[in-house]
Amino acid sequence: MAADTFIFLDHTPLHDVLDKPATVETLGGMVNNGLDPSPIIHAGLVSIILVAAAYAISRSYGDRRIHPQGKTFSLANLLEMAVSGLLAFMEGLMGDHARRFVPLIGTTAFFILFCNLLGSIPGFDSPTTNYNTTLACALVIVVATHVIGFRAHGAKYVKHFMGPVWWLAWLIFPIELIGHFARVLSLSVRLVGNMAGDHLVVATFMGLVALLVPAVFMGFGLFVAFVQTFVFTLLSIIYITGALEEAH
Amino acid sequence: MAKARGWYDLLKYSSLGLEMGAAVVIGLLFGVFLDRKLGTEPWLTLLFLAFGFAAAAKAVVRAVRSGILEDEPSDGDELNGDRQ
Repeated sequence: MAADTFIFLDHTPLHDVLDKPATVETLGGMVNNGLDPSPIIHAGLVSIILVAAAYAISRSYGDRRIHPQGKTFSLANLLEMAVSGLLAFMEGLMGDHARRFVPLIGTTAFFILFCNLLGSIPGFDSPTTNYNTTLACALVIVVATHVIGFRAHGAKYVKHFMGPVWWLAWLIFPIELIGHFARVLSLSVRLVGNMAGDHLVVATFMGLVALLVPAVFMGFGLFVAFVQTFVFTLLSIIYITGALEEAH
Repeated sequence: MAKARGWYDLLKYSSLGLEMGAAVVIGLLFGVFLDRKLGTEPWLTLLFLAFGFAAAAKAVVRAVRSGILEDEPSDGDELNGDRQ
């Protein structure tokens, strides 16, 4: 059902406007099966960029814990600012647990941010305009939430699904289960809807007035890319905090 | 800081609408799926649709409760300034 509903997102309208084929011929097997490898290639590109940047920056530290202060602004400074900002934001919401979850939340946040921003570069496409990418991100977060819950509470984590009294458990359990599946759907659909919608707006205005006007919406698109990353991160933190706290 | 909190809350509660819709849709789809598997149309569809509505309502209750819990300590000295 979900795949059929979102199949229209496979070809973003930008491809039609820019007359760029959405498929890469070399991956013939996928193309012949009607699959679009473009989001996978772009997501892989983002992963490679992030891993390479992280590796290069961590190498530049050597065996020091603090980066040497140069006269020029470096990539390491920028990353330190971003990571310490993220940590401060997480500490405001989760308190002492924040440091443990920086790797998970930070990775998804940077991955989604770079995926969103990749679409602003001409010739590239945002992997997050494809439902599969966002569904993968949402599944990682929601599955991780439950793993974290079980590791924190053990078997008592099941109480989170059972409600306050035992004789209502049969009623509460399906409701909670549906609620948790709804989290996957709402996280992924929000991201894909906003990114695809934003590209649709830019493409439409590019078709109407090719000069200057789309630039306004491209700027708006940058804003949307950051806000959606922020929302995804915020909700991931809230879900993880919910799994960590005691069942009421 | 208080201003930043308002901004988080705005985004947090804006997610509520989509979560309510998603809960109803998930409940309905699961009910339809079970009905087709077990051949008990339309009873499980209706039951799980009701569960979906309940899950949506529960999302609202949870959000309201967390909002109330967050507001309580702010009666202290820290945020008093922008309360008035």
